[in-house]
Amino acid sequence: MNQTESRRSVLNYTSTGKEYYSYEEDSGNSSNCSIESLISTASLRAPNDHHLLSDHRNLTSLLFLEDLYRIQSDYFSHIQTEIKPWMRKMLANWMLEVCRNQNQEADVFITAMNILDRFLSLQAVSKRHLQLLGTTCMFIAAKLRSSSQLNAHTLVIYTANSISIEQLLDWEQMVLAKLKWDINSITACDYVPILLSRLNIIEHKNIKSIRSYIDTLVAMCSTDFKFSMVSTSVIATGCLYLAIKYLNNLDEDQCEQILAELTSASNCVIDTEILVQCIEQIEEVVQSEVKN
Amino acid sequence: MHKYEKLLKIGEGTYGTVFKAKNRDTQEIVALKRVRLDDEDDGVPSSALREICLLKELKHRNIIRLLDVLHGENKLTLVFEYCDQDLKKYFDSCNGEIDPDTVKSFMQQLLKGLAFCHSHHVLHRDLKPQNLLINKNGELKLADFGLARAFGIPVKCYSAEVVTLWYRPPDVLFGAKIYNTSIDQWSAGCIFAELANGGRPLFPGSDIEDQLKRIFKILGEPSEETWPGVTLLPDFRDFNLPPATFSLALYIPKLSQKGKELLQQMLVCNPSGRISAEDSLKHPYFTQE
Repeated sequence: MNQTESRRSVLNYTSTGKEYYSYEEDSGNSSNCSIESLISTASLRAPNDHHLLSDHRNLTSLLFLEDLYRIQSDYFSHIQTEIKPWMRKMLANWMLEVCRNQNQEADVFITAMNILDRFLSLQAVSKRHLQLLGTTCMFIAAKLRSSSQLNAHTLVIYTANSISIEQLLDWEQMVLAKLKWDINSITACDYVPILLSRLNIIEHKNIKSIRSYIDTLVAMCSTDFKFSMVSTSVIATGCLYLAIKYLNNLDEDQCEQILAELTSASNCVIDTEILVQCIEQIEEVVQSEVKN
Repeated sequence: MHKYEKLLKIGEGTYGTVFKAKNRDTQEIVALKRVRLDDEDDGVPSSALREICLLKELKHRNIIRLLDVLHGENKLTLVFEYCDQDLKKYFDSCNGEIDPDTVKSFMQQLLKGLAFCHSHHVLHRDLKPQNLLINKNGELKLADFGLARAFGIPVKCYSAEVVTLWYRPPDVLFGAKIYNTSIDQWSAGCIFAELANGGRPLFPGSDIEDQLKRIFKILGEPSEETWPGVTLLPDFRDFNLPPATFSLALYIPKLSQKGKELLQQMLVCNPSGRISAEDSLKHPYFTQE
């Protein structure tokens, strides 16, 4: 069976007619590249709370908590028998598209992917249930993170009616129970305002484009399994670095300086070598997405 | 459900009945809160989902402990540690007099719980005496996180959903749709005054307009000078009240001088000028007297 045929056996979808990777090369100004419009920022974000941002305990507790939500092993080689990395990737891209079409913030998608990964590292799932699981994860993540819930009927339609509402609601309870309700994962989005504030650019005039660029990059990382075992703080820092680098067209010296500032902004708990490695991997993913 | 023996009904919560019950194995007394899953298409209500997963993270002696979640047919049961009464009932039983040490102890516990929530990215948003539980040992615990949410996440219009009128800050009363930790600090300030006055609420407004007038009568009406941007709030209105004649201190005569100073910093109309829970705990009222 070739991959195109087996696609259908994993994922059902109604075409939304939207191409969401329409990167235009040489647009002249890198801030115009459409990659940043991947994630709509239609909904309103809470304003910066300086009590929160200036409280050093927040970063400390985020760094402490993030490890509890990171998967520790490659479930493809241990737990899962039917599910393959390319199926996860395909599911992730479909979920990202659904979240985007429903105007959900990046953190809804990222939280859903984290719930998915953690469930998959606990229990084997057959490939005909993979999309049901992905849908359930979005359903839960939006209730937790978003001001607008994802409607169960709408989600069923997105799967081209391949799942039923009863199944979705059953799986919701099953996933919650399996994960013992520990679903409020730390996402890269949680670090961004703290890091921006420590870099003193949270009030920057281009902060909106910087943030939506970061959102796009962190969402992209969530679609790729190789980032599932990387620390959330490293991903956040790496995406922030790349966003600044791309949007400002920085040269090598300036990049070095930002890297140093970022490391100190994260209280030096982030290992520079790991960070540089992660940044290279993100750049590779960006390049390959752009090609596709 | 066989694990728990129901003893008596103790009230109606945000989404269902609350029972006092006993764990058959350990004899531990607990509170059971039932969440009905009637609505066939929504699954677990998002308020319940948030309360459960936020409370699982918030392990602190001044925050109600969620012990377990039981999955049942068309319902969930939340198992909480049991507290004998809430602050509202405590007020009713104390005949208008609360000893200054108790006021300070309750206030310190409330602020400790709140500072913990805030440091964990959680706003309570519905602080009021009914949601503050007290156990036999005089420990105060924040409860009912049904309206709480992690912040930094996008917010929509809340209007009536958030914070009982009496404990609602002026920025929210003026229709501010976005707010932060300062919302809880205002409510905490109102509760502080109520504690100091033996259970008499400071601003018992009957509707939004009355609520605002009661606040401004004591604290003075805000202006662009005292609160830049206030006139731009969606429901802003100018009541043209005469300047406040008495200071806030006169409305809380029994509170110590340091206590009055702290309260003054909590009840600031402009949300950005309100003291944080963390800083409140460092105030001389707690550290010096």
